[in-house]
Amino acid sequence: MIALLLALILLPLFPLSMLFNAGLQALPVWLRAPVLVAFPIAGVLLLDRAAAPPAQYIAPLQLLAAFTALLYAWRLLAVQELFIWARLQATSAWPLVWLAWLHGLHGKALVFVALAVTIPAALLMVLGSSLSQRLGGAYLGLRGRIGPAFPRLTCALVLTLLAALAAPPFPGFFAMFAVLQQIPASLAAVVLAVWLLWSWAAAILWQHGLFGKEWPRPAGTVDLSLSAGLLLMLVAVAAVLGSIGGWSWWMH
Amino acid sequence: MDQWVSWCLVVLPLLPALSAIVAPLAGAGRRARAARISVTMTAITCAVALAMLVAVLGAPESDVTLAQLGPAALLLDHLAVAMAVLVAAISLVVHVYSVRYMADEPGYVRFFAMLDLMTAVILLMVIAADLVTLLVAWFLIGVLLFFLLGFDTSRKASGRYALWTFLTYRVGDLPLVGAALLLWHGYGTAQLPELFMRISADPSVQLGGIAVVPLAALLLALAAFARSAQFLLHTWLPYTMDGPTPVSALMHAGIVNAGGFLFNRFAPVFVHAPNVLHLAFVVGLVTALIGSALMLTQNDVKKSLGYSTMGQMGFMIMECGLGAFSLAVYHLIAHGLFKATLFLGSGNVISESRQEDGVPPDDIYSFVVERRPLREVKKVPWLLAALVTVLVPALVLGLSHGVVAEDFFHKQGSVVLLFFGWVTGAQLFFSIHKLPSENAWGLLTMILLSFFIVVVGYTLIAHAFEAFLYPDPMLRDAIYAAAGINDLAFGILVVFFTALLVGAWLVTFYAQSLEIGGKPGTRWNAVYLNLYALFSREFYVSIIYTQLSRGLLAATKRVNIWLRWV
Repeated sequence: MIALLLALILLPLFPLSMLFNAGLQALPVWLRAPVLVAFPIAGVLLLDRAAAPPAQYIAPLQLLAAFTALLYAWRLLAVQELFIWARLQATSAWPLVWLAWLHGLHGKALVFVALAVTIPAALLMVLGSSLSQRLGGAYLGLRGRIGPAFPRLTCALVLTLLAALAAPPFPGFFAMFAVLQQIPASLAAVVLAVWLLWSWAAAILWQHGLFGKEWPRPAGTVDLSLSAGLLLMLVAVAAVLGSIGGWSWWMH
Repeated sequence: MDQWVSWCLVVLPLLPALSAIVAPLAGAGRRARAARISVTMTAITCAVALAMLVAVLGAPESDVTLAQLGPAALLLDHLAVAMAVLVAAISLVVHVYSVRYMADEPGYVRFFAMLDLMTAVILLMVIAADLVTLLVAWFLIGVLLFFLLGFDTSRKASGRYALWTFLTYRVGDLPLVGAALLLWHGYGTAQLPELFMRISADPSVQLGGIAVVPLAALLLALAAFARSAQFLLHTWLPYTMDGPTPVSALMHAGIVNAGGFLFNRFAPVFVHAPNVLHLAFVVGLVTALIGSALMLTQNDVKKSLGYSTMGQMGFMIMECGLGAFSLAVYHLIAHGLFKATLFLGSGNVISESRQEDGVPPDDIYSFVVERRPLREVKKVPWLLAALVTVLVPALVLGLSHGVVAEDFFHKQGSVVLLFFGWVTGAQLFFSIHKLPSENAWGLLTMILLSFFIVVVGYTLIAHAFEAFLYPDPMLRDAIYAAAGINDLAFGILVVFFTALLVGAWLVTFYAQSLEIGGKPGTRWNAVYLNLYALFSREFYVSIIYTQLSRGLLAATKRVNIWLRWV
């Protein structure tokens, strides 16, 4: 039971999620991404070791998880600041891990699901600080498109958003499929609605950065370096190949 | 089939995918080289598709090739090869066209890379042999289409309408995910050939007390409706003209008609879901009528073309609802070819019409301004014209189909299709009769001959195509049977619609003398004007969606502020 309560703090559901988000926002920018990954992974490892909750708690937990996922996914629609977007999106994804666990997903598969839905949000935090260094804030859509001024950064941002909305062939897609395979039809409808809201929110966000008048590059700033771009690309390729390989192994 | 066919199957989506990587790398700083690589790779892809077609034509009818590309299973059957040839050919034309058309655009190399990726993904979709591969390809088409439609990033409008498309496609993706999960859970396999065999063996499997197949069929139909812009999920289509012309051509020719492909791919599922086929018929019919009506009431040529596609997609889905699955594929191929031609030729048409508008001179203008004698307009006697209008299409259609397939009229779907053919033919003769001409008999004879050639040619090709796509006559008949309804209800519907159409023709014929608009100030005039407003505002569907989404976004903002963004 203690493991379960600890997991509830590390992999938070509403209203604990508000505390977690407030804490994350208060941290220095460089610490946010590691915390965003470390806490939920610790939570998942605890969940994996925890015994199933008493029967009377299962339905309320499911309800709370579904509510948290929907609430945070819906709230994403109005967010234009990258740091807020990343943490709200991750907060909306973690309840799906709870739902999968409550319906019997354990072990490596559970950790894979948690990583697949969390890492893109952490990467968005990193890109958010890159944007912040260049524009003074990680806010998109204030003055226009950033593509011409920072093409590599924009490309990395769009690809990471695609990973965050669980588009194929990124790991999130296979993670969503693993969750959907595990849960009953009524919860599947909630998960599909959450998936749709992520897509909508991500498309609104990248639309703010991609379209409109050109945002002039502030003096003294440069685009993402070629090596950083290549590194991000390698991470993306490794994630894609890894998830496809994992999926292939799971299918067989 | 031979081993090389399996290799071709694997290579087919890989070639354009490879081109999407190689062309930008090799063409860094040399745009023309990137375009050349992309076109060459697409030409090779097209050649591979044609080679597969030759292999399929030479193989026994029931022979199906399966191949593995990583975890993805690929399938080569008659439907896959027909679609692959269509997609590869249209993609090649679009690539070649884009070489010069897009030459001045800043993202030239990026455009070709995305076009290649889109070709690869569509090809992957048409040859997918398992549910996950199909889902991956289906999902990716929506994502790539967003970036192709929003290619011109300097215009906010292109991004806005690309977003509409993306969202509608995502709405359509989710039922497909639901259908895939249901079928997978219910039948224990994700491989399509195996799945279809299990469904044929036991179509009444239930999950939690709910029959799997009808529900999965409904979800598949919903996915097809969203992809093929059926009514209420259509608003994105007429507004996506801000994308580059080659993308419009590819979209209208090879992407929007994926709904028809989905119906055909899952034909063994729909055979056991007659109610879903009836729903498809109604949705298709409503879409065809509304799309065609809105096409006629638009004053924007591009939007009009968009609604024309919507009407055609309505017909395609309606054909599926009637059980004429192969005809839907034939329709989507024919529509793809002519709509791509229209889009790619639109630039030339605009250029030519700036020099010569092509409108025939008005008689009064010719007489008064140009001082030329008035033409002597002759008309065919009205009784004869009415008989030709009503009887000739019925006779030509009936005889041509009767010769090709004797049992054709036993299927309700065929009768409905003939009904539509008759209406279209009669409308054609009626319009020709109304045209002022100095040689009315000559004009009528020529149109009669053209009609005869088109109908006979179409009938022969359509029947041959049906035998090619569905070599198993049992499955063909089962689909038609599933789409059928009670004979009495069918008869009543046919009589009702015939009466409705004849009435509509009479109203059209006497439109001027009846003063359809009514006199200003009368109640009928107010109704008429409101109806006109309703059509010209496209039934307010997109306005309602916009208001709803704005309301949702405003509520989100308020909640975020209350919760301090945490």
